[in-house]
Amino acid sequence: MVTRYLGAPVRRNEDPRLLTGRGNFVDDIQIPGMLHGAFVRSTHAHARLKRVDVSRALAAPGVHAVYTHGDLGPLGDPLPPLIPHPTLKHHKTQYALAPDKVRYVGEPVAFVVADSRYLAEDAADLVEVEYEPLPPVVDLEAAAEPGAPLVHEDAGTNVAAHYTQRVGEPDRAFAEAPHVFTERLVMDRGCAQPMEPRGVVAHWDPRLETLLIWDSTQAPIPIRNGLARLFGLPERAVRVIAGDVGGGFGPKIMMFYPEEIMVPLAAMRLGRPVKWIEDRREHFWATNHEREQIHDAAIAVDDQGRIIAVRTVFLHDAGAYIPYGLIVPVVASTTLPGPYKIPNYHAEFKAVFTNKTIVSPYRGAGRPHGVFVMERLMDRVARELGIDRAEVRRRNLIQPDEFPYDVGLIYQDFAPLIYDSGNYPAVMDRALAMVGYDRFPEEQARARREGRYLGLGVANYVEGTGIGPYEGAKVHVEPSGKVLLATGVGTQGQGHYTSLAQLVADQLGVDVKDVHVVTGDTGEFAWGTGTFASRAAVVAGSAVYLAARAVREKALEVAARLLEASKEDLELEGGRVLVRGAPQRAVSLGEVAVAANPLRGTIPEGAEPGLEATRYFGPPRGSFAAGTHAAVVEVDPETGMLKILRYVVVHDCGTVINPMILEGQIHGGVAQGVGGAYYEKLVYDEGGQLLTTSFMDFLIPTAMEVPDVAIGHVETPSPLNPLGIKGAGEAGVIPVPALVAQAVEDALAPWGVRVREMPLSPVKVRELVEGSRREAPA
Amino acid sequence: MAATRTVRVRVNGTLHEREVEPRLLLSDFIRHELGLTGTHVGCEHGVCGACTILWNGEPVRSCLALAVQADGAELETVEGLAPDEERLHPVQAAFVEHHGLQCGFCTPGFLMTVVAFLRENPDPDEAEIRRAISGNLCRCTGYVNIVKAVKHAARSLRARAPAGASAAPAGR
Amino acid sequence: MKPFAYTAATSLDQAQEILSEEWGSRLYAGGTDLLTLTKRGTVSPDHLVDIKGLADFRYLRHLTGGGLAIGALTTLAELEANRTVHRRFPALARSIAVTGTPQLRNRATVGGNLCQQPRCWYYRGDFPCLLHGDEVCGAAKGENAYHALFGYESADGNRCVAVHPSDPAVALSALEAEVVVAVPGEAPVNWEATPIDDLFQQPTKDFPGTTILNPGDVVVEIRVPEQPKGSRQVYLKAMDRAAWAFALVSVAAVATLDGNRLADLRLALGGVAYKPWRARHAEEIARGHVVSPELVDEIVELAAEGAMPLGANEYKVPLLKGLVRQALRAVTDESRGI
Repeated sequence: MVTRYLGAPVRRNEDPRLLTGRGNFVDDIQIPGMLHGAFVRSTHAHARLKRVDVSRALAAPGVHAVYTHGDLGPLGDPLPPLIPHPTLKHHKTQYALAPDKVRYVGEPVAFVVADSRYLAEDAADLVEVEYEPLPPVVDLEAAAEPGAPLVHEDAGTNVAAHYTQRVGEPDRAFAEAPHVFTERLVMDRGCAQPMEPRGVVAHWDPRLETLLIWDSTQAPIPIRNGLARLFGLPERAVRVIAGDVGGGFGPKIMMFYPEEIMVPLAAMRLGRPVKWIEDRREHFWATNHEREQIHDAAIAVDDQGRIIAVRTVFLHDAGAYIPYGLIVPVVASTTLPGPYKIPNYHAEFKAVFTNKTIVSPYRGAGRPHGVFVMERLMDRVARELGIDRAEVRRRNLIQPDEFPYDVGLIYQDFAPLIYDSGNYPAVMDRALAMVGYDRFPEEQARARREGRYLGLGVANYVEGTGIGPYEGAKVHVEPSGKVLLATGVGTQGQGHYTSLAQLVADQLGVDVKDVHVVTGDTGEFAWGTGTFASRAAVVAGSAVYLAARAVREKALEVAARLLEASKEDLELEGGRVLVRGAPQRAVSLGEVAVAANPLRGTIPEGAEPGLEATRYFGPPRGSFAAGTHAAVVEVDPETGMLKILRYVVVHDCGTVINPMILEGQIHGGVAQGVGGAYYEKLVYDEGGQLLTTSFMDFLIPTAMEVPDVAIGHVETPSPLNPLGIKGAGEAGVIPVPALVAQAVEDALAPWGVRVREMPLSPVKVRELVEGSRREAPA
Repeated sequence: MAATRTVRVRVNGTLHEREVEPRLLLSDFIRHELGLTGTHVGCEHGVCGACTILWNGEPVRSCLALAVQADGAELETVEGLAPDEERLHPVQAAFVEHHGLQCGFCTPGFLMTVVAFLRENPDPDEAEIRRAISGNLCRCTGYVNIVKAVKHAARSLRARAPAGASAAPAGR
Repeated sequence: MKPFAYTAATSLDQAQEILSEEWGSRLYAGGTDLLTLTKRGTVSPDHLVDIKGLADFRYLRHLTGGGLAIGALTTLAELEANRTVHRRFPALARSIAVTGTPQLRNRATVGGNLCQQPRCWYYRGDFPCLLHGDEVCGAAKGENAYHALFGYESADGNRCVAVHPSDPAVALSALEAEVVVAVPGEAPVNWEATPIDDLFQQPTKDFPGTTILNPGDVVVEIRVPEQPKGSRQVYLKAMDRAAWAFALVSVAAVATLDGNRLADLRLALGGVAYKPWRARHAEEIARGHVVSPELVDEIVELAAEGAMPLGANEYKVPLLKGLVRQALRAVTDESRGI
């Protein structure tokens, strides 16, 4: 078999459609008779609901219904928890509409359905809500203190979970180590902000008793299964389509956002299609946040800077509810060790409720936190012991002959954290060479003579990807010879219509454009979990490969009969099956498909009809990608403005399906990382009000801030799946905070600036410079 | 409800006439009244640029204008750039070639901005390109490949233009 | 967004009549600010009076004796592209280039830019704000990193501590521009020109408005006087990202040098007060003196004289000094001029 497509920068199948305005985003769905919804949301961070009066709203023009908690029946119960954990003692989950209490600004209180969005919003303004304010729990540290006001009174505490993992004997190691350094490191709130906000359209057909949902979700299959359960419908009666989704990055999975319940509920009760599209301001309140953690960390090293032990004790801000469980803090504490050998490790966290928007994974999902802490500790060791920062890292790297490497922890998939393969020294050395590490001191000195302040950063990470449980794929050849591939993992821009098609095209010898991919539609494929944790290419890709191989085998068998040739002498090429060396003896794949599904005659005993196969793949555990980012930045100490002069990513994600798509993933990740490290911050005031609710307050980087990115690849295939793939979706974002912190410190070394929190900003950097000036004038 | 008003507007060469409420946003008019859903709404407050259309040839935010204001105007949206998926506009083709889009949500806004920009500045350098697209936010691509695509599009448009002709109007 | 009526005015008189007679009517031009505020419910106009179509007020005209008259409905893009503006008022050209985005500059008018509302998140969110008619300015003792250093007298909550967001206003102030305000019922010959700084007022509990304009008053023209021969200009802006952000602090400087003596210096500061803040004391001290490191130090210190940080915006003082220093370097050092 010739692999024409695997590893090639194939142009994307989905592009022409998206470029000509023929996308199928949820707000593009128009159904005759459709009604539109708007939510009344809490204006208080923490309050009792005394009274919700909908009478004026109900009387407003064009209004069909106004729902409050009392209208929900059993759907008014807390929504189902997503991922339980044994230490999660208080698995509090959100409501479709708030019952007697609101716990964050933006929590849905009532849902108005009217003839148009404009009329629905008019009426929403007429819903009268009387609140009895309660003391808001805003500050993370204060929330964890005994005696703090309680977000959930019945829990008796704001600490939802307290979890510790240990490797070796960290206490003894710290007590006996020659050098111990401690740092307090803070990451503040941020969020994903996909360009498309969320949205749901629901259409109930009372005759067929089917519920059709369009949802901008990353996980349509679990949404379908959950909705069927909640609404008491057979699974086959519910179809969820996540067509084109305008960016996901994590928060487009929750199961369930309140809106995902209320829109179908209204559609079923009113017998009319209902649409709700989130506006940007709502998105800031109502779509999950991430990132807020406070780490007290320590590292113990010997005189050569070799790690003896690491400890992190941290608080994780869960927000008002914790439906998603402990994924983010668990990933943070298990990503922290990274590519380094750490014989003794103590990771301990408390997940804490606050009166703020719910937290769930956002691209990186705790990995940026872990890497920020670890790399800051490495920088501290380098500085304190006077060892070059690349060298101190190199001394601690896991070596290529040490795989599989057991870190000694339990990962987010509840499996042991075992790195499958990698070559960390090669990755780091390549990045150092690309960024010009050795000549940088001279470059920096020259710039300083000109009054310019340059800094270099280098940061390593290991990225857990491709976790189970499983995904599936169905490959089907039509009589036309065109190939249909259906799988469950929806796409939010990752190029599944192309990368997955490449795998099929190689197996069946067809043009990649002739492989039609259907994804994110439970009517086509309804087994699987979703697109998250850099797993689609690994898990679904492997299932696609297995299904395509099965179809290939079948095609060869059937064609062998048709051509009266031995299977071993056949090959698939150009949409045909032909006899090797005798290309005139050939049948088209379409003819083979017809022969495999005859109208008369028979098929061989034990065979299944048609050129079709469905296969599933579940990896034994995650595969671990790795990489190094390095950058040279310039900081203006007067204005605090940051300019990234060079940015290098060297990445190892095993076998690469499509390097063009892979590089795009990395570019986007880096941009998001830069945004989270320097520009984007959610600001809550003391009362729990979110002040940053527009793109004028929450500054996403533009083309003026984001650098060009030079990318180098190292390939150590994963042994855990047939293609050797590791995931890549989060690689771009993970080490950016660590990298920017180090580079800014380096640039501002004349002032002795220390970076201990993220995000920075021009204002923050100015304050750091001023603070250092006051302490010790340069 | 306030009295409706008549709006006559030419979009991609086709004349449309509708009765609308004064508060109807131009973006909603284009998407829901005319069914041209290629123009996307990302922020509704004029920052993200996903809703960018050409209004008498100039790129503007359709979310920051009322439909009634467009009465008599000539608008262009992404649907007007190419007759079909096989015959893409050079800017669209360059976005395919350089992987200038991922989820595709912000893309129509970028295309309209870039089409207008290259009419005015057919031979931009990278700094000019970055400045020109600084009013459009993209969360997927990090802009790297969009910048490449714009460079490529500029080259192919220049190659198409007859020698000596300049697409740049005088006086700007 | 509440329903409203809409009138595309065919004459200024018609617009002014509606605006001065109908409570709840609002002047509407580019719409880039007002529509955003209306969508958020920060303002709820009953009637939008659109003057964008009044071509009479969209012009650039040379004034006798030099200088430029700019019709208030001229878009920022038109102004940005104008050669006279580039050649003779580079500080203004620069201030426009760093305003908003290309798409916004195509719609936004220069008059509207001057009359835009503060970017304060207390105002734009549903939080305590004098401009909402609330009793107290929430920012005075709240999250005020982006707020004023000057001109608010005391942070007692009775005075608005928001800053004016316009960049061009700051450049225009340093250029000593005037605005012409059309008053309803007055013949054009009686329209008065006001120094641009005087267009703005600080919102207080009793006067919750950002300009001196009464209902029906319309800014119709901006007059930029000819600058002294050989004068040099710069506009510098510090912001939170490299594009599409409002000024943390900005500085417009116009200097006239006589040899190495500063014959005249004008320094306007943005992002620090409810109006472009002229560093008058610094300007006076500078006048007539030879440029020296000592003089520059003195100007820098005086520019920040009287600054009253609010708590979270202390960084603005050194930032302001740093920018003033850079600006002075730019307008006094040949090699760094723009």
